[in-house]
Amino acid sequence: MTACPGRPDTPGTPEGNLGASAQLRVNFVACDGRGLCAEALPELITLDDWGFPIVSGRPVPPRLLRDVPATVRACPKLALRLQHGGELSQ
Amino acid sequence: MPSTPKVLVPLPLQAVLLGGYFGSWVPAVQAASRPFSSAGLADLGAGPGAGLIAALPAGACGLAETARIVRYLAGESAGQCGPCRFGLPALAGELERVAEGRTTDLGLLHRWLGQVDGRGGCAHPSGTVRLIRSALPTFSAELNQHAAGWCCGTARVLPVPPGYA
Repeated sequence: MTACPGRPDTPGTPEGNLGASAQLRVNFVACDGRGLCAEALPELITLDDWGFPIVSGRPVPPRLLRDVPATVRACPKLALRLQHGGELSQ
Repeated sequence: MPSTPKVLVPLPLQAVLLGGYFGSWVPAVQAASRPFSSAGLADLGAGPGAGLIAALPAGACGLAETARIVRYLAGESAGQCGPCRFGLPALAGELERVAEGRTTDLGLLHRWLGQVDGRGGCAHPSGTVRLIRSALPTFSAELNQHAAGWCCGTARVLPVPPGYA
């Protein structure tokens, strides 16, 4: 049996199931590498060697969901989004 | 008006680049008996890609060829996304250092391959990563030769536009 790449394994915990619907996305055309996102949310965002964000492909854990909107708003280039399922939102 | 394609195949071959410059290097002996199709090449980690095959003769250096192509691809970046704009020149420079025998440490190359792959607004950086990742195992013997201080060949085979050679 092979894993489906489009559907990350979600452990049978409330955290895994709830978080499966929300993921961070970066619009790299808009992103200028300012780095505020990685400072605001280091649990989910690190920077590559040129200062551009590497976001975890994993669902945002519910305990961090509260911090995400402020991080999204902090991006001066409006390049960070929280994606709920197929929907993008700020 | 259709013209008969001219096919120049220098022999013997050491490797073929399947699928164009975003394709995969495969040792010639492995590719020789394969159908040129997605299914026929899948287990080699290759595919028809752009439908092109480039043949590398035994007298050429696959590392140097790949480094020249990557430098060209870095120059062709639209420059819209940071990981491509900065990552591809970095990869080109590091691959040149490897090809010229100035370093034997592939750590930085692997680090940057991971940081460029799958990032950006289009597949240009990922295609370049694919090319480099296929070159490293295909030309592992050359890597050892370069580490020992000598290069397997100096011929320039694959075409890149003027200014990139």
